[in-house]
Amino acid sequence: MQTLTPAETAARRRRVRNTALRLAAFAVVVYVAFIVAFINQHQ
Amino acid sequence: MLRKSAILGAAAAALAVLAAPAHAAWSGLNMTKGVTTLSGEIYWLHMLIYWICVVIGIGVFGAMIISLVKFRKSQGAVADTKMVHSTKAEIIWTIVPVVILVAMAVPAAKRLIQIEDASNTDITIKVTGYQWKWQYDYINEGVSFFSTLARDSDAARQLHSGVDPKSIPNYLLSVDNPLVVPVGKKVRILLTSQDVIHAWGVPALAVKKDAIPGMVNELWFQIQPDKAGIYRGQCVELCGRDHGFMPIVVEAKSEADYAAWLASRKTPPAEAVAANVAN
Amino acid sequence: MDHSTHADHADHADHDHHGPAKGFIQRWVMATNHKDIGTMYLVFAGVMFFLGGAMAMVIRAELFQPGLQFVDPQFFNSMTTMHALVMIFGGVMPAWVGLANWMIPMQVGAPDMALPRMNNFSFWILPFAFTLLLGGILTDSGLPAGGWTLYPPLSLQGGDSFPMAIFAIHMMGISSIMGAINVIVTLMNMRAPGVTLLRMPLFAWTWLITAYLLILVMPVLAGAVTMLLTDHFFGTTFFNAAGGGDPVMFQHIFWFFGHPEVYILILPAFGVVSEIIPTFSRKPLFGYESMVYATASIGFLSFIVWAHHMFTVGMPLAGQLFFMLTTMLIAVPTGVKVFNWTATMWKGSITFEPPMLFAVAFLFLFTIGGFSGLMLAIVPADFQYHDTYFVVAHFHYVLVPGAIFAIMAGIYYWLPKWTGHMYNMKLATVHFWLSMIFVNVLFFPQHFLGLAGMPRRIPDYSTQFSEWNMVSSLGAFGFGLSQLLFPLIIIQCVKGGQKATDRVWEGSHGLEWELTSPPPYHSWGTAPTLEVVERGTVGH
Repeated sequence: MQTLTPAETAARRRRVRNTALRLAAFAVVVYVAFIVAFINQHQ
Repeated sequence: MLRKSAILGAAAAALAVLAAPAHAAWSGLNMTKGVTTLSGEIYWLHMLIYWICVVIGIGVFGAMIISLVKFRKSQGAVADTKMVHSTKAEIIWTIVPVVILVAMAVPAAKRLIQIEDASNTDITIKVTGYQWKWQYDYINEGVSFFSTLARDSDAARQLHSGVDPKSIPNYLLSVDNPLVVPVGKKVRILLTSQDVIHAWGVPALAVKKDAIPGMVNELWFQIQPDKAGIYRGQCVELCGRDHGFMPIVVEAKSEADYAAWLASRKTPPAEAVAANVAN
Repeated sequence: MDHSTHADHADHADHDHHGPAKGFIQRWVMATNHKDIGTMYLVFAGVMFFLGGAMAMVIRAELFQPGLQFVDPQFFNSMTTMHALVMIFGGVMPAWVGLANWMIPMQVGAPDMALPRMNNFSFWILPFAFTLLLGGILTDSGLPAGGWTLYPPLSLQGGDSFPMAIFAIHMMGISSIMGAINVIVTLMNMRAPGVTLLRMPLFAWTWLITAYLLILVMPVLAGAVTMLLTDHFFGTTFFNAAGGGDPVMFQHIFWFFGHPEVYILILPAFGVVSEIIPTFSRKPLFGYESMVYATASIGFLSFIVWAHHMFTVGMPLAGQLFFMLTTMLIAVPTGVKVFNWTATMWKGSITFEPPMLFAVAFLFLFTIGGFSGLMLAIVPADFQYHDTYFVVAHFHYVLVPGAIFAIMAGIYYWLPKWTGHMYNMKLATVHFWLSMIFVNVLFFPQHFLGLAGMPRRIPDYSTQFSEWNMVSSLGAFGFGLSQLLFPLIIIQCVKGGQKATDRVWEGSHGLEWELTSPPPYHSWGTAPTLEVVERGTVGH
């Protein structure tokens, strides 16, 4: 029987949030950078 | 009762249809050998890769079928739970496919290099795609005309036309003005478009390339000297409502006939129109 | 299996301890439970499969014989366009997300997905996205008809349904990205102690790689369609040669998304098949690690093969050679997978329950799709195959008996676990054989049509193509009708039936089978003990 301590739960929650935010930021950066790259190439 | 019988049946049927002499409407199971200097080579490449796939298929499907037949629990098979890994087998079935792929890539690359070599052409024709017709422009000859779906096909293809397509000769594959080219000459086609992307392809000539607005693409073919005749194709890139109704007809004539035809097209337009015969 | 009852004592401060919320809105609209959301995804995908299937029936009815009998060519083009969009974005992708939602927490010993509220959001975007997409039928221009690939300039000729479709695609993309983020953070952070990465089941592994592909390529698709939108409405000329743009560039961008997308549709299928074949061969998966590496290699290669979709646009010779070689290379890791599955069955003790039947059919028919894929990679021959029914046959072989058979296999595999009841095995076997026969009658003749030169996406054809089109259409009607059995079997099973054991299948192996059938509302409220993990994970 394994149960996480409250501290462990909080740490895991932090990790989850950080990973998720980083991945989401990555997606947004790809999207924006992609369009910007084509605007530049275009001029 | 496994898939075996179904697969054997399917394989037998496939072999039967491939081996059967071309008869009636059930023919046309395989790629055409074509009529140009390269089309036969492309057909050969297609058959090579096809047979390689067949041989691999016999091996892979064979192993699958054997396991499905032999290692059935109902036949008293007991699982060998220790058989979970074999570095040797894994190396073999990684290396062998690589070797086969290389063996296939070499002739394919050679042929591709030939296909892309459009130097030393004898005749250049500019082909322009429109929604939904083709324009043929004989560069430096002053001959230019549109090629649209033949009237009888066009009438029959209307929704609820009531006309049986089987009563129309070359339904959807005939035009008012075909592209005329000489046999034995290297013909270069320059492709472009006035509106959306189309693609110009004729299976018997083993060519297909996109016609793109604002760009010029190039392809070439050289019809074998003894292969005068009429070859048909279609637009092969979705180009809107009537994409299915802008066929391509290429009429390959002997050099002398081609010269005579070209001269006749240079006569005043009124006569040229009168001379048009639907193909 | 006493350990599974521990879930009842789960200490989850912000969740209901004792099962689902009462009331439709609380349980479904405000759902945060991975099983409820998984169910909604699967139901949504099922509805979309039947909608997309109905469109396919319209297509095959029109193609039953030459001449135009039923629909206007423009509407026919709408049907091919929408069939693809609905099946890909509404059918296959949500079905995989649904299976991921149900199974991933159960398979890695987590109580739920890591981000349950985002999970809710990513599902509920979908009905709105598809309402918008399908709402195009109410506009004067009708549904989008420029092909699902949205190639400009043709797609820019669309009427009011064009911006609706673009916005719908943006929404689907956001939904997919959120779903993918959820899978990644769940697998990275929520695995029970002892479930190391290389102990994860293959379904979790293939989904992890799929999720990364999604996050990498969905923003690219979004960027491409945004540029289409500005070209149409704001006077930019990204893809307009007259303004210095390049229409071919769109195709490059689209397929840079599109090829990984193909693997997004098929990698989870590899995962499901890798679960089912060992179960019914009563033997562990052969070459587990090489399966993981092969999946990763396929994921990587999917980014450098995109231009094989567009060999006829007039690329430089070097480009064509490069894309031919990389494409052929994909055969190697794919071959490794097929060989490993075969080796798993070798010296096994095989039985043929419905999930295994579908998985074995997958094995045979996906391989046929792989062969035609190899043929398509040979550029000189591709000039003959390109944009003909040969291509249609190829991708339907990998997507219908490939992805969709794997989805059905997965549902038949885990349905007793989800519902706690066995389903009607006889009927499911009938469903399998009808599907198996008709799918081949439907798609195999399309190889012949393509080789004989029949182009794709045409509503009417020359009479020389009549016979095989008729055969193909008959197969389509048969296949379509047989699929009605599927919801019937599922509904019967949800309503009741013979009680399923926790193990369900004699050879089942994995953490999900350590739970009760049906599993507790929060799967692993208490993480499984190391002993359970040892028994329930791959190990080697």
